[in-house]
Amino acid sequence: MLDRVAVHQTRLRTPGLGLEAKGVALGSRGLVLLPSIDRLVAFLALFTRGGSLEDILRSLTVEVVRSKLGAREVTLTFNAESSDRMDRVSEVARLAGGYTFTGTSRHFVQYRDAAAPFGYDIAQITPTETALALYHNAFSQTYDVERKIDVRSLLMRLQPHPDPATEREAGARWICAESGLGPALIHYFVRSSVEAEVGVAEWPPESSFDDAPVRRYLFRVPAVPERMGPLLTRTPGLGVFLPVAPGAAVEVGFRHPVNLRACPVFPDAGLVLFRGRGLDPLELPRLPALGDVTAFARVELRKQIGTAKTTAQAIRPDAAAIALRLVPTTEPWRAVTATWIRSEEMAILRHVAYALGPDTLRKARVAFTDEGAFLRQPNGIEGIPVGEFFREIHPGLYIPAGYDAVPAVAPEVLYRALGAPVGQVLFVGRDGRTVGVPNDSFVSLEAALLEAQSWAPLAAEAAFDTSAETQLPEVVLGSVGIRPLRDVAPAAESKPEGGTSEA
Amino acid sequence: MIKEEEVSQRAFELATRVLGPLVLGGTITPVRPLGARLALAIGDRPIADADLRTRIDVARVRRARLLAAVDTLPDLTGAEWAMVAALNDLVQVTNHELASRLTRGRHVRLLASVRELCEHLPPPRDVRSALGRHATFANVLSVSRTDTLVSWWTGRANFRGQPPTPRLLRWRELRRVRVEPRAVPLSEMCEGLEVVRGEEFADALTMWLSRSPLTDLATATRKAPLFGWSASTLSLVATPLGRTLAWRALARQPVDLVHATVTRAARELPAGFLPAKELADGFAAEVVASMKPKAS
Repeated sequence: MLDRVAVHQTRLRTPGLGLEAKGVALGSRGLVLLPSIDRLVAFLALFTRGGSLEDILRSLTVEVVRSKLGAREVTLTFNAESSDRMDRVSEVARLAGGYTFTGTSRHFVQYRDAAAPFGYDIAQITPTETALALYHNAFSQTYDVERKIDVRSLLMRLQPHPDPATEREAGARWICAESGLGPALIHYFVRSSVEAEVGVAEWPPESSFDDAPVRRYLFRVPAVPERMGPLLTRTPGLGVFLPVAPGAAVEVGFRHPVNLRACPVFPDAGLVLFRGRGLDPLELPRLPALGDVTAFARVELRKQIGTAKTTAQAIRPDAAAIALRLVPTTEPWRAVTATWIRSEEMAILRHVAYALGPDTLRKARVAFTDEGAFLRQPNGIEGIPVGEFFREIHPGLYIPAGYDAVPAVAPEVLYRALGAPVGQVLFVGRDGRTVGVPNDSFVSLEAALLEAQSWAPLAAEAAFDTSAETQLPEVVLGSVGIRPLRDVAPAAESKPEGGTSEA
Repeated sequence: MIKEEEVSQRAFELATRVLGPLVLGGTITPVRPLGARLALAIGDRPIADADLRTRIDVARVRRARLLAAVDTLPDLTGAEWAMVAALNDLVQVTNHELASRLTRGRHVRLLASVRELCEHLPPPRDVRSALGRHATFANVLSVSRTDTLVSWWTGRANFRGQPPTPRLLRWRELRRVRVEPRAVPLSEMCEGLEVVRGEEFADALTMWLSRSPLTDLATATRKAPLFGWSASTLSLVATPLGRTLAWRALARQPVDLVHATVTRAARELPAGFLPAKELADGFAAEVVASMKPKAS
């Protein structure tokens, strides 16, 4: 017989049993004793209908225990944590035909019920060497652990029940097709414009007589049209599965006894397909690579297409080729972004350079050639009023501002006619002569002014100012220690062999 | 046989205590003399302190860009390391704490070692390496030593390159203490040492300068040691690019002094070295013609 715990009772005889804040006798662990595996499944089913198993799953241990008389029963042990959790577990266990106990290591006493709101305490501990000693008002029994039951394995072994209602549930579907049906289903989806993803999964051979892995096509269909339902569910070799939890799906027309969504034992990266009709579930540790079904659509190639010959291949009549000319135009100037400064105008540029703003100096780029300097300023060259202005009619192609090229061909055509040289900037002079300046030779005007010391005193002064900030080196003499010349060869010793060489 | 660990350690000391302050400015505290063999054993190696290396690189490029449009310079070569070591030893020659009364020959021995080391240093292989050496050693004639003369009512004391003893500076008013610091340039650091003659020290410094011809030309108007054409400086101005750099280096100095210096140096070349004399005369004539004194 057990003693009821009284209000404000402070001492308990059961080892590991304490009083929680509400005064309820509670150990660190809770235990549910169930008479059989069936009852265990019923307990899990009932428990997961009302809430998630996630809270107790981390500490949950399911074991088959055996009493002295050889009767086998099932225990679930988990962290008790609070009387709220234990109350809920106790209610579900009572419904499943089990008993609830609490304790810490070996001795578990009956959890509270309506007769003892603050729980029970043991009158006398049973001396035992067994793994478990359970004390109940109706019985006291000791048990040895026979084996453990893995919850995941248990869930995998449970067969889904027929439930036609799942066929009408909306949402995505997994479809598993035998390898022979996969391509046909792909084309069926493509023809029907059904959005789907497909991958090929492999399972180990089902028996040692098979020498190749079992391949099946796996489809993920966000929404299966209703008209396809009968075809997909009744065709042998096809299986339609309803996702019921991350990493788990149950065949349409069946329902798993346990609410799998409340049992987070299946990893998201994989997939377990629970099949009905007594078939084993299909387990994929990792999802295969999935691709859109449209990528697998059948393609048909046309015959060789006859193409017209390009102008380069065709015979060009000599009479059609004319020289490029530049004619003055009254059109307003646009995109004037370059200037050609001849050698005799360089002195003007030197004078103008003093007046240029920092932004202009930074953005303008200049190239020095035998023909003079070419200056480019993407924002407009008007700020540097030196030389002959050019406008950019095509990337890398400039003609003088105020002139148009005739014949009035498109700039692209003109650029191609000039050979479209890579890395060259072309300038077409007023006399029709075209010069090319390597793009790499354009450097920042700022840098060019700094480097060209002979005609840019501004840079020299700036550099002097910078170096003037450097502290002058000063020697401070000190002691050189004992035998300061220990590394210096004596005067009589031979000279060092050879000198250093410049790398 | 010199151990690699020792060479690395001495190179690290040399970089942090001599090379860094020489290029970046600051206090040079010379290290124990290295001697010719150890200096040449350093060889081509980067500066171990990455931060110091970066700052020295930036300063060298900044110095080189005063003469030429370059963005990078070659790393320190073995010859440059040896030049740093030679400079360290040259400064140590002037250190009065190097020897005692019984070991006064150390100064002469160390000076001989410096000369021997300079003789083994090759001239720059090309204009770029000459520019690299100049970028490293351009500040060399800016190196100075502060000698302090402390006098008080009953005596005086001279401190060569060392701060005065705090004891002597106490009760300044009462003891009528006067402190007279004096900056001593590198060329005059040997003054006050009886064991080494000034001419010998100047010869060694001239020899050291000749190993960086662009630096030699960039300081041509110095008072001492007087500039004279050497094989390396003549080799430099014999090339068009080297001539341009030399011209730019000279252009940064007073024009009248440049005229006088190059003319005198060309005149001092012995008549027997005709090609060299012609080269020096031609360069002097070009400098005189192109550099006009500013009209005041």
